[in-house]
Amino acid sequence: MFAGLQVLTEVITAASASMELALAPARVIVDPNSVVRQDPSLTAARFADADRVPRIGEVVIARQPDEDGSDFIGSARVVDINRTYKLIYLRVDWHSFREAASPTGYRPAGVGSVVWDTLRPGEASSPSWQTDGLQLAASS
Amino acid sequence: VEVTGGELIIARLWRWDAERLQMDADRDHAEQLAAGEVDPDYSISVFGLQVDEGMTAEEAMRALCERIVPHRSANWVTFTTEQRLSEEGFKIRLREPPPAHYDVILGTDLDVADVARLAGIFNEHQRRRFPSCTL
Repeated sequence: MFAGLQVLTEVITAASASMELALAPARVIVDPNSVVRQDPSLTAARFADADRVPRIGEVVIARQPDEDGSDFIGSARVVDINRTYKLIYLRVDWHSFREAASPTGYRPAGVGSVVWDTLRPGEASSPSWQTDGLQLAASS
Repeated sequence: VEVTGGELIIARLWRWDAERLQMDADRDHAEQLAAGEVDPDYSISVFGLQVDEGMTAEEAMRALCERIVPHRSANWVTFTTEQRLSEEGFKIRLREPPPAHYDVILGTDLDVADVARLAGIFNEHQRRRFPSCTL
């Protein structure tokens, strides 16, 4: 019976971990100088600039990490992915950028998680985030 | 930065170290390949503004930042001039939108020495806060 309980606990723990992973928004480094030639409303990033490859339609944390370790973050929506050339095409909300409270690469427990309890009915596809001590509204 | 009327003052946002410039040039090249461009080149994105006669360097820097800020956001900015880029053999081309957007052309082959030289030009002056242009 105890063995069964332990297995059940492990299953629940693993499921919780995978759910948290699924909910955490991707963090993508964006270059504020650049513009996509074919659609100047977009900015491209490489897969290497992201902590994971996001999905089309996903709202991500757009980052401009500084050399001194500080981070300047905003929001962006993924509008296309090119897997051949490993490119992520983003519609960046440039006015959403703010200084992050914690340094680049440091993600305290819970940071980056979707704050589901702030959602109202019908907002499931447009969540807000609690990121590095900063509340970000998802861009539309 | 020293400017004279009629010349272009150039701004680069966020980061301009050689590593970042090379990554951005590689990404831009990949974007062109992804779009089906048969003979893509390498380039670095910057912003530029023609300096009015009688304008001081400080006024020119602030005027350029005011052109950029409706369209982009960043913490830091550095400045140089088209003249300075030209002295080191770099050509630029206007590629709008967004307004005042230019490419510094690196050619069809990417030479790391060019990237390092360009980073050196961007690092000739102390970086400033964007968009206030204060040191």
